[in-house]
Amino acid sequence: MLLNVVQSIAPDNYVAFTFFIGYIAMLAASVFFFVERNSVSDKWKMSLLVSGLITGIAAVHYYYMRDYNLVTGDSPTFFRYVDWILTVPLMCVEFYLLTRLAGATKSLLWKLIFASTWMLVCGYIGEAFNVDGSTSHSVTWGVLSTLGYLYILHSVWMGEVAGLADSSGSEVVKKGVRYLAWFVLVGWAIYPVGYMCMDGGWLNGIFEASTLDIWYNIADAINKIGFGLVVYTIAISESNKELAK
Amino acid sequence: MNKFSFLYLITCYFLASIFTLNNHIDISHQIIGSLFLITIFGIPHGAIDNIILKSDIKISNLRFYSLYISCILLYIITWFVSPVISFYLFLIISSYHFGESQLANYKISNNNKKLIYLIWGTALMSTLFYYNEIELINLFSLFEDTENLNSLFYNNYFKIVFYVSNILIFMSLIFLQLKNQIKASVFRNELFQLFLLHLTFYLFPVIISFTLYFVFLHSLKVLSQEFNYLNIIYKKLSISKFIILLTPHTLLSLAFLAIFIYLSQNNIINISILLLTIIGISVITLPHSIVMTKFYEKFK
Repeated sequence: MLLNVVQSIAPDNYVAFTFFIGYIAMLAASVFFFVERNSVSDKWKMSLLVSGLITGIAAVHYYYMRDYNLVTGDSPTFFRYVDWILTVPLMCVEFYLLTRLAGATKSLLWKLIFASTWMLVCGYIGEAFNVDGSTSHSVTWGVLSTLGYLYILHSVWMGEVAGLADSSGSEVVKKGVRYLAWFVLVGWAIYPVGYMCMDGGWLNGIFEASTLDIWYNIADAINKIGFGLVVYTIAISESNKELAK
Repeated sequence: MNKFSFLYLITCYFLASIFTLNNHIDISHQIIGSLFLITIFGIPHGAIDNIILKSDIKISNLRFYSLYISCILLYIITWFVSPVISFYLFLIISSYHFGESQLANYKISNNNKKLIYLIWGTALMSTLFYYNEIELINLFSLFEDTENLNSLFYNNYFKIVFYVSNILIFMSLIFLQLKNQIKASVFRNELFQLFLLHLTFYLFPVIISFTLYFVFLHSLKVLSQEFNYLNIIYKKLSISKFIILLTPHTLLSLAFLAIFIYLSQNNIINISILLLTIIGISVITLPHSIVMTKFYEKFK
């Protein structure tokens, strides 16, 4: 099957190309994070496991999305949202794991998971159930979804997560959380922009669906692998510090 | 990203939703919304210039008000002598003032920091004009006495200013980072804020664009700086006490604004409402920016 699919990809089919690259990159990142779990101290193993799970789940979905796109030529909205609804809350779990030592509570974890799930469920309803391209439907669900995004953004930049990172006493954790916050601010911004480009959205017609798919694929790869690499850097630095003590 | 950029971002999302629903916002609604925000946050940020200055130098009330009002009157006269030159002067003064309030708390020790303030503000203003050229030309063409302000757009010089100032501010930020005068996080924040400004000036009409910047990234920030400063001066300052300090001059400014709008609308003075607004803003910007320059010297 794999060989057949590869042979049928046209050289100028950049959507398929980025799906393929995304799949391989996510898979490679997962292997890396799982193997590197042995290089960090026990308290950081969970963080690397979650990083590996994020890219692993995405790799599986990218495998399906690539085939779906090749067979139908459509944008795999359903698979994307299934991927996001599993991986984005896991990214929020990373924030909890990084700040746990500074006193992050379970309530923070659940608030972040709820906000991310809310953001994605509302986004999915706004995008997938808008068959007639209704603007009011798109805006209503878009605004509701944005509330979840803004909550996470606030928490990681100036709310609970940022406060915990500041009080962690570790410059590496503080810096790392700030890097992850940039991922949420800049990297995740592609998703509301993409949402606005859909039928009924403000920016509808600016990008072709295929162009949007390419942007999503690139952003997904950067956001998920980059996110994991920042966590990996923190884990390695902190583990080395512990070893040196 | 700081709390002001966050508020800015939320407002942008909110406005984007309104634009999606309505395609456009009527100009009268834009003006009402902008005036509301400027009244609540914009005017108050300059309403305690007397307290700010008097906390630093010994100056009597009489002397302060005489100098402040003289400054205003002098600028009003220049508006009658040469509106176009006064308008350009206003752009230069406000550019410097915006740049100073944006970068003053970074403790830049560079000898050319005043030039960097001016470049930042020039980049801001020229970006606003660059993305909204047609709208501004139409706006200035609405009234006979503002038509000559369109000279700003002759020969496309402002486009050169746009490119040069944006390149220069980008290079200046890189230079300051390389010289360790600003942290890497500050550098990223500044770049992000410039990107955000470009995006909003491109997406939204000129009145909304300027109000967004002026209220959320300038006035609120200055109000916060003033509050923190006075909190130290007065040992402990509550928000309600701060609001009480802001109230008298804010109300006075609004009263003057209402009087001049009445006079213009009833043709008692022969100046259009648009020119009157520009003159009004410019003449209070001049003494305010002088006071703020003195205020920011404390940030060294």
